[in-house]
Amino acid sequence: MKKLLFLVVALFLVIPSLAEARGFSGGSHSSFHSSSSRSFSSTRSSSSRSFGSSTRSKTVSLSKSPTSKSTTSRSFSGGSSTKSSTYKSSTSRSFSGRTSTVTGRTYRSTPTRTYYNGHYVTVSHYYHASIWHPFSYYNGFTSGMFWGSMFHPWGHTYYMGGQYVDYGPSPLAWVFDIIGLLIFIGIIVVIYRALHPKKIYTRRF
Amino acid sequence: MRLRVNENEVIDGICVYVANKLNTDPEEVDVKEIAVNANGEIFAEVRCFTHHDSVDSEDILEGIFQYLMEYHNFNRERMVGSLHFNRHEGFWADVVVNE
Repeated sequence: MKKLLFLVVALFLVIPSLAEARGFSGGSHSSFHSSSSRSFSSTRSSSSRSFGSSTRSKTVSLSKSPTSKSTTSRSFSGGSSTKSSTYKSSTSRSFSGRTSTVTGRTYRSTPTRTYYNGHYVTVSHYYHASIWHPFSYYNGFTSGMFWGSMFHPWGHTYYMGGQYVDYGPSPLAWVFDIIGLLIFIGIIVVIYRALHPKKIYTRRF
Repeated sequence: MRLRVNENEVIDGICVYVANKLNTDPEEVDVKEIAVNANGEIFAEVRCFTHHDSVDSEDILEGIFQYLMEYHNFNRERMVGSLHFNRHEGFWADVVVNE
């Protein structure tokens, strides 16, 4: 039993160093889509209340491209009335802070729609994970990420480059979280049995 | 001289050990159970008045030595022994005295 306990503890210590733990293998970028209900260009000609049509300070601030609070803080590419109401950030203007090549499959989170600066924007996050690299979704297998991904609403928040990035929940991460939880429980059971061996014979008076 | 201490005398040894430890009489000590675990370790649960205690194999063997010394006048310094168990015979101890 003690040999088994030693083997389990040694394995538990060695596995994190063996795993590539490439973490976030690939950059991420968010795409911004402004909804058609409140676009910049469509209201320029008709209304003097829209952002795009005015030469007041509001237009100036908008043409400076509203910086989003998300990690992929690249500005809108268009503010001119001649452009269509839907704006897409092109690949060259997306977040380019990649630290490694993309491997595995690219996942997209559920688009989030919010009201910002007078119009609705839709934000999607893209991330990469590979089944052949169990820890690729996380940059190392820390207990904080483990517990967070299962229960906490901020669990899928990941610290990178001085900012917190939200890649959204991943079913793949849930599967590995459950496997890790079972392994952790198994280790606790092994330790308990090693410290409290079972009675095989008892004589009571 | 080689002695084979049966289960009753093993219990007596436990009572003597706990009584000497708590400075009371062996008749006041009750052995609730004696057991062996998967590692082969033998231990006993005892109660003396309101005090509950647990004794392991070493304490049980020491109690047997004290019992043989106090009640059978053997020389404690020249005793060596070991505690055993099997399902057929239960608990017993082999003690070599005065050799």
